[in-house]
This record gives sequence, structure tokens and C-alpha cells, in this order.
Amino acid sequence: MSLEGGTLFAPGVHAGYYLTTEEGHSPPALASSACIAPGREEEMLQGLLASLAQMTPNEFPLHHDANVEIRYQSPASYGQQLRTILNGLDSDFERVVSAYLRRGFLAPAEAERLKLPVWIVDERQGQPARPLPRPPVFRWLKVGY
Amino acid sequence: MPITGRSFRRAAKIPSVWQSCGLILWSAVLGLTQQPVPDPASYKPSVDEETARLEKQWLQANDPRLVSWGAYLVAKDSRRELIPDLIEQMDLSRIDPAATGPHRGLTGRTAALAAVLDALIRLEAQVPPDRLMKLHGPDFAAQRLILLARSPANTSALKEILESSEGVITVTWMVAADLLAAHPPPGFTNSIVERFLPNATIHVTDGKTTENWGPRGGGCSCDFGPPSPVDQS
Repeated sequence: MSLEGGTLFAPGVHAGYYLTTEEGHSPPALASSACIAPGREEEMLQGLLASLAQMTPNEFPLHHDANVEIRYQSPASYGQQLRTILNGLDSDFERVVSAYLRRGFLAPAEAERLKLPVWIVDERQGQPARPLPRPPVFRWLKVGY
Repeated sequence: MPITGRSFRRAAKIPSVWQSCGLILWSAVLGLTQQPVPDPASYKPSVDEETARLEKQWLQANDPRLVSWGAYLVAKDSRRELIPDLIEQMDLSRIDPAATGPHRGLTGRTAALAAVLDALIRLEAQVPPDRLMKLHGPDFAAQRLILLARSPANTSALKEILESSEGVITVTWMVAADLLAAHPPPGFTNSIVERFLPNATIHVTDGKTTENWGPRGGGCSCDFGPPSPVDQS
């Protein structure tokens, strides 16, 4: 996005422009108005992280608050669906971390500490609900309830 | 002992001929400096040399109105040779903080500083980051960022801006991050990942659940009731 008549001073995925205006014949008195539309903060951060990974925002696989549903039918199908979802999240996160490591933007020690938080929320209403089985362990995931 | 002419003069503090000449010259200089400075709103110098001299004089005045006019005209006339003077005028401590400004809500000092910063931006000046970081308050956040963007040694200053936001993402924060992302310093990417904190929530339903999945606000500190039982088998 560009600003008509504006001067680009911070190129990037969400570039910064400035616009100077004059009032009458007086020396200009400047005021800076800076606001981000509510809810766009995370979207902008996602764009920044995508650019650091040399990806477009659409290619970037991670989201600030992703929601996935598993419709519980049986322990076996639940386990299979859960494994598939966790495997996808783990490989997505690895792809991003690998990109940062490759570009030298992340130190191996920093990467070692990074974990993608995944929350499992049991919303079954049928009674009595059988406890959910323990999830499998993945390299980049920190699964909690 | 007879008093000679010389010793008499010294004793009586009477200036000699040369001293008298010096006093006359000094008085003349004082007389010149005490002349009122022409008002830039009405006075239009005919010679460029005089214009340049007056612009510098207005810039260095104690009156915030004259400083503002000086800065404005320096930029308008593209006098890049006066960039060091403009940078010097970023310290406006000599101006009375209570002096009134041209607009309601702006003190004279604030208005003058706004004009000085505007002139530096228009002249595409490179201002030392440490001078820019001495500008306090949110009033000049935009000007500071614009000028920092032109400074080759801006990394520490930009990091300071990120850290000072205390986790709140503003346009200032975003632009500072954008500038740092061009050449990320050590720790920058990690801090952005931690700030972004991507996370996923898996909702296990039985088909009777009403879907109402709001944001979890980062996922770590929200209270979603007691933990679900985990099958230990």
C-alpha cells in the first residue's frame, strides 16, 4: 500500500510513509497521529515475520490464533486426526524456524528454546465423556490443555 | 613620588587613547547587536547574503516565533549549509518553556522544535541518533523515526524504541521494527517471534458443541476453567 503524495522512509511489508502539509503562511506546526486499526496488530506482525522468512504473508503458515476442530467419534479416529494436525503444525513451524536459521536471523540456541504452543480444549458435551488420550510428542510443539 | 601621566591614568582608571578607541568600538558593536531583529513575517531581504545571515540569526534567537520562522525559511531556501545550526537548535533549553506558541495547545518551545525537525526532514539531513533520542514524549515520535531512518547507525536507537513501547504495538513500533528488519540485529527475530506468539487451539467436539472460538489472547495466561483429564494409560 502506498500513500499518495507521501514519501517512503521505511520500506518493508508494511512500509512507512510521511506526508508534510503546510497551513496558511505560518511556520508549520506539526502533529503526528499514529494509530493501528484495532485487531490489525497481529496481522502486521505476521507480515513482518513472513518477510523475515522471505515468504509472502499468504505463504506464511503460522497464525497468531489458529483454531482447528476434531469431531470426536472414537479413540482411534481422534488419535489419527490429532496426529495429523500436530504433524502439520510441527512441520509448518520447522519450515519457518529453518528459514530464519538459514538466513542467520536466528541463533541455534534461540531456535532450541522456541516452541509452538498448542492447546487442546475438550468441548464434548456427551456424558460421560471418556478422558482424551495423551497427545504424541513433537519436536517444535508444546501441547497443553 | 611624583605621579607621572601614565601612572596617574592607571591609578585613576582613565582609559588611554587606545583603550578609549577600544571602548568606542565595543560600544559600536553593542549598538549593532542591540538593534531589533527584523520581523521575518514582514521583512524581505533583497540580497541573498542578507537573507542567509538573517535566517541564521532568526534560528538562533530566544523567541520561539523567530526560531520557527528561521527553520521554516532555511528549509524553504534549501540552505543545507545550515543543517549543523538546525541540529544545534534541537536543544531549545534557552527558550522559556512557558512561552506561548502559534497554536492552541502548543507551547512556543514545542512549536519551535516542530519547525526545526520539519526543516531537518525537508533538507534530508542526517541527524546523530543520540540527539534524536533526547527528544522526549510522543509529540515528535514520527519526526524522530523519519530522521532515524536516514541515519546509518540507527540500530541501537530503533531497538530502544521497540523496548520502550512495553509490548504495545503502535505505528511507531511497527515502523521501527520494519527498519530493523532490513538488517536484523542479533535477537531481533527471536523477540518478534516471542511477541507474535503464534499458537493453535484444537477444539474437540462431539457435534453438539456451539462453535464460538474467540481469540485466546496469546493462549498462555487465559483461564479456560479446570484442565481436561488426560488419559495416563
